[in-house]
Amino acid sequence: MRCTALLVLALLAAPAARAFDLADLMMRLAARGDAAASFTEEQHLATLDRPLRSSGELRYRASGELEKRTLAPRAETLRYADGIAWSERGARTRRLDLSRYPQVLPLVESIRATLAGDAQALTQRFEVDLDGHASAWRLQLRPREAQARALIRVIDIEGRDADVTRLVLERPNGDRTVTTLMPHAP
Amino acid sequence: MDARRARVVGVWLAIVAIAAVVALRARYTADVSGFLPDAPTAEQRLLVEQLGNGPASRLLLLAIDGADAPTRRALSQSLAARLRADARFTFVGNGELQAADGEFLRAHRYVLADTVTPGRFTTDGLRAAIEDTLFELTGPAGLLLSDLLAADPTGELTALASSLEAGSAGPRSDEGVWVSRDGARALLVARTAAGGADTDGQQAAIEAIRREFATLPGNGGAPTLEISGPGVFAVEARAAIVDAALKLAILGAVLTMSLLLYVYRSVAAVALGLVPIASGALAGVAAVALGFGTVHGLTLGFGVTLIGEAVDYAIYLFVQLGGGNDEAHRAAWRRDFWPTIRLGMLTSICGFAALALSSFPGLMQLGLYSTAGLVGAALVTRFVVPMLLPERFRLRDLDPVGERLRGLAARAQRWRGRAALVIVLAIGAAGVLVLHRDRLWQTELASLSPVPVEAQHRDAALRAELGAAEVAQAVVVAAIDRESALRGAEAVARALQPLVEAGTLGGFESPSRFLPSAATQAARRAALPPPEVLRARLPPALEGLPLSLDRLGPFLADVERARTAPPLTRDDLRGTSFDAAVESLLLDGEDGTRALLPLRAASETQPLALDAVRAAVASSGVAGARVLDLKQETDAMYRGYLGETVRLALVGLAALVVLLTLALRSPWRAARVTAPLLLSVLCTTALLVAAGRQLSLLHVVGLLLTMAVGSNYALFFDGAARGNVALDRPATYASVALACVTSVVGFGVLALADVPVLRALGETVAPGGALALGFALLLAARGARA
Repeated sequence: MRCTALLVLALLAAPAARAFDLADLMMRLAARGDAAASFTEEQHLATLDRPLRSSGELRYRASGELEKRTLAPRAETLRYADGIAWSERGARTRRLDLSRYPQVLPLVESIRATLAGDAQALTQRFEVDLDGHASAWRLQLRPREAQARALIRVIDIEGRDADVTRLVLERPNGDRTVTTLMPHAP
Repeated sequence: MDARRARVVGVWLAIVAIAAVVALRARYTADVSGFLPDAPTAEQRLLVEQLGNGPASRLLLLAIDGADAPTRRALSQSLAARLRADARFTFVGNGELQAADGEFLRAHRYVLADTVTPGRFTTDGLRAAIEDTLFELTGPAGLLLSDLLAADPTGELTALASSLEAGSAGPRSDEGVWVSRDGARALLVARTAAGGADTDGQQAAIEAIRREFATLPGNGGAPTLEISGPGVFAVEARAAIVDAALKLAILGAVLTMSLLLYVYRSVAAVALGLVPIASGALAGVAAVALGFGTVHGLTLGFGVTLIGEAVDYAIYLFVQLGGGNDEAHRAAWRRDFWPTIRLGMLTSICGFAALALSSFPGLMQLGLYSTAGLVGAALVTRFVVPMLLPERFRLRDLDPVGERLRGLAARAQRWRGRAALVIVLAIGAAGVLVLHRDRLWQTELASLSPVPVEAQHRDAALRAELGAAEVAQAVVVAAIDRESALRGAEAVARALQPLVEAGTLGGFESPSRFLPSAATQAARRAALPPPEVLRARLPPALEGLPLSLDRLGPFLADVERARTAPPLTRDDLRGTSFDAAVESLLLDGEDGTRALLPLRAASETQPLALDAVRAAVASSGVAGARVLDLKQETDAMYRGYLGETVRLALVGLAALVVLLTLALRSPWRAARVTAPLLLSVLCTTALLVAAGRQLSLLHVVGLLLTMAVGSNYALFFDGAARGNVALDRPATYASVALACVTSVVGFGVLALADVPVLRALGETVAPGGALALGFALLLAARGARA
């Protein structure tokens, strides 16, 4: 009964309070600047008997650079900016031109553009749906390009305020990657 | 008289007929290699091949400008698709991954990947490789790799793809399509089926590209297509040369003929004036045909302009005959003028005969052509033309003009300031040359190229954007057959790899990447275990990993297929983009096969570490391997010719001084005649340099030609001023002035050409001739007449 009352209240309040939209979210994210979080990632692949786990640190700098430092199962640092990824394993650095792989680029760009609050980049590549409110939002990104759709069904990004807390990648073949983020001070 | 005329004309016609037969039977070539040395080094032979029909000559570079990035991308994709369906192109690249390429790499990964070693397929090796692959899945490429896991758990395809990517610099990509560094243009390359020397084939291919592009859907007219490359240059150069040669020849002829007609007021004289030129040209062609067997198209082009001096002979004859063509006038001309003309011709020949000693076949031909041509023209002027002239031949009376010119000359020669003026000019010109001494000479072969400098720059920029598309610096492995060449390439690649890892070298390509030697393929196959062995090793290797054997059916099948497959051959590459790569990197010739390993510098701003490469190649122990720097090679070759040409020109000058000293029986007089020539060469050079030109081989030829035409002026004026009453007549001045004006007009027209070689001649001889006339007038010694 109380629930129903709350729902009624919420419905009544809705027209008065302006809806939380993509512009609001992007503005908050853009204002955030640098961001850092520890992450754990689980890949659920049909080929594998059990999920593949990895964990480490994710860092975003307002300059546009995304850094993914994997600590387990082994160490690798990936830096990404302007379509180019650099991978560091021990002394070995490798350059990977992601702009050559239009299927892969949207995945990296979805994270970068969200953390940067870059609405234009997001809407250019994805059909964007936003649910929730400022303290609990959920972005659903569906690639526009056919090549990317072959590998990515949807990217689900959840967050609160200017923090991303969870990222789920769903593949057309049912494979999923779930990344959980624990934001901390950069 | 009539009997003699019949005899002379008969002999002349007989010689003309013989020369015509020789000229008609000669072989004419427009092939660049015909102009290059006869016995080139292996490197130069490679260069000539590359210029002629090599794969590099068949590469067209395309850039789409305008509109927005998605439009350019769509245009690039649809243009590439259309060209790939066109038989005129053997390869079209725009950055899109081709399904056939992926299929090829996947099907042959176990003989292509250098990670395939016996150790890789032991239990420990398998485990390490599978662990690596599982870790790769967490990276950015994981999205692509997860579908391959069951077939390629050891990650051979990943290793292969990353080694291929490391080998080629390639352009930047945007959303899978090549773009320029600033992202403002989409880039493509297309390799034509037609060879680079097949200009018609190139033209058809280029027109096909333009046609397809113009009719692409979504091309609203705003986007533009730029095409560059050797084929485009060949087509444009042919058009430019034909256009320039035709237009300028017609323009020059019309101007000269109208001028002569205006002056002579006699159609017969103008027409007869062509007789020595045509005879000289024919004599030149026949001499070259006899001497060389083949006549180069360029020789004909330049040679006709060198004959420009032959026009003067007829002018001297007609104007100096003056009153009429009776025996008395002719005898007077033979006595008074002919010796001077003969001496002028001999001095000209000194310069051109020196060129015939060159080791540059092109210059040898030019030297022989000009020598034979001038002798022929002079002899025909002396013996034949007077026979053809009507007895009652009369020109407009030029004596009033000549008289005025003579007065002018006399005043100039009495002017006290003339020595000062000449000295000031000489010092000024020398000063200009000293100031520009570091960049007087154009030391690159490209200076002879008929391609406009601007187009060369655009091509270089496009080439740089497209990455290692050029075979400018490479290791060449020469071997008796393909297998040995590939083995050599593999050994060199092993020696170069540490340089790449140390960052000394940016990377290199090798045909063995796509087509390993049979020996390497056999070794890799031998490293693959039979199915029962692999099946037994996998369970312990997979222990504790999230992957189990029952998922790896595709892997077991692929390994067994690779283990028992026939060797990979050249034919298996058909239909992939690697076919074009191997075609350009593995060159079959008469004396065996050469493998090319093009090198890439560690960074664009740094020169290639050639010394380190040489050391590595030496350490590889491959006997037929050499480091080749084509640009350096061609430029060294060109600088060699340039230096030699300058030395030969100086030899010619020395011969000229000796000849004049003997003929004039006085070193002092020889010096007086030579001085205006040297001064005009000095001032012409200074003018060119001050105008921002760097001197090329053709400028040197132009300077020789300047001395050739100028020597006649100097000899006439010297004779006249010295008090040779026969020469000190208005007709002398009028004829020399007219000869000078026709030369300046004829060569001035050439100076307008867009083709550098023609322009070089024109812009040298036009001012040079005028200056020679001025200096000859000013410096003629006031002798007995004073």
